[in-house]
Amino acid sequence: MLAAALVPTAILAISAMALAIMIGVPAGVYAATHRNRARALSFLALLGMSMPSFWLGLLQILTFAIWLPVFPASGYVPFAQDPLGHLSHLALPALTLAAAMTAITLRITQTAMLQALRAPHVRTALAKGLSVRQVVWGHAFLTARITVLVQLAVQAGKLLGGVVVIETVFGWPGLGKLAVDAVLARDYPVLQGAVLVMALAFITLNLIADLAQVLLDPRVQAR
Amino acid sequence: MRTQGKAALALVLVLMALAGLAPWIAPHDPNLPDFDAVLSAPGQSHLFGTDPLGRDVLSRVLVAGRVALIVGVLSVGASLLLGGGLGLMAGYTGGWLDVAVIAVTDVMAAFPAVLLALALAAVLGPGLFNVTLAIAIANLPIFARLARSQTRVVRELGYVETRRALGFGPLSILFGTIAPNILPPLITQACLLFASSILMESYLSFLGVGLQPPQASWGQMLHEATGFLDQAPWLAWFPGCAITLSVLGFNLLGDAMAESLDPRDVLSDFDPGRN
Repeated sequence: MLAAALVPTAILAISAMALAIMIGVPAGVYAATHRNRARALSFLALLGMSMPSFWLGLLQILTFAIWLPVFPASGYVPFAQDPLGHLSHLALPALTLAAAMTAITLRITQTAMLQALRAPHVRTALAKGLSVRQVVWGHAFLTARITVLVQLAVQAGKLLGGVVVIETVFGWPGLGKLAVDAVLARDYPVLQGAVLVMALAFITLNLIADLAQVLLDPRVQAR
Repeated sequence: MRTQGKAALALVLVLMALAGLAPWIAPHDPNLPDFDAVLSAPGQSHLFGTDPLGRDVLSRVLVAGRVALIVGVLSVGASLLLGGGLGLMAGYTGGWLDVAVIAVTDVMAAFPAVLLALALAAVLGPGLFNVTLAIAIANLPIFARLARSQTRVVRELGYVETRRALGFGPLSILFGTIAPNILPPLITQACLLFASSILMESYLSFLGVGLQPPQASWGQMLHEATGFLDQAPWLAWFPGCAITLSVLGFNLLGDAMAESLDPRDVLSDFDPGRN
């Protein structure tokens, strides 16, 4: 039961995370390097974090399933059975979940980049005559990405929390929906199982981030 | 910075006033059904429209704001006092209390907060008090750890040493000297957690383990809206806007406070636009 629910949740969480990183990291770097646009971007990010994800989900259903019927409002089709149907069912929940995560990723990246850009070696690189692009991506980003990675793992709890509600809104048969259904049915063993598996996933993510930090950051030594 | 903080404060004060005065400014009785005006679109007699029972959505949004405010104040206040107090004592005394606080908060931090609140609410049962308690417990470790780490820094500072040398007792030092000095970061965190507790209450009520009908709450109104998305989308618009605005207000305020405490985060020497 838990194992069957794990796959849809993993698909949803990983695709949302991938979307969030693909949009949030470049946007965060942009916000850190373009001070005049930073205000607007951070406000957008804060707005994204302030919206309850289930409301955003309802708005997406209103827009893309009722007014412009392009995506199905809810349900799940296994990938092996119908790849296209799988993706079209995945689109709305993944976009909804990605919205809040993108906002968080943007803020984390922006803060990390602002800190990294203050380092003396960045000033030296600029003084040497390297281009801004080389300095930003080749020097500052190398230090910033470690902070981004660790912070993202810490924030993964928010992602998993979002999963619970999003799955319920979109009828996505994952761990979150299992947990909520168990709550409503007063089925405590299932609830305990689902909560434990999610906590385990959260801890594993943090462990992976810590291990990755050893690989990326030569100052951190594994002992 | 300054303007952002002022704007956020103004927004928060307006929202609090609206929520606090809800029973007096609501145009209709929030729980009075009007079966002649079921699911009527936003218009002159009902500014935000009516729900499937003909209740006025504007009045319900206002009254629900009061509930959100109460849950926020009580849950954040409780976890600030309890978690902050525990962290303060753990950080100051060290020893077994410190070990115990760290162990417990470590375990609690392994559960995503929403999930923890959901499980707690499931065990405690629905209702205003239980939801407040669930959110307070879920937020407790954040305050405990923050207070502990701040206390560990402050207790080594000269003025604490001076108080000790002057013969002040540990209680007086704890609450008279250290507590006021670690308060600013705690208050900032409280502001941000106020935002997240409004969100959490709406999550719980949306999922059906929070506030129960007929008591209006934003999350529960959105839950009711899910069945009428194609006929009455206004049921989904207004409660969601109310949540987003209030959470945004407290987030902006918390951010402004954090920036005023730590000016380093905003100032950057690097600006390629000027180079």
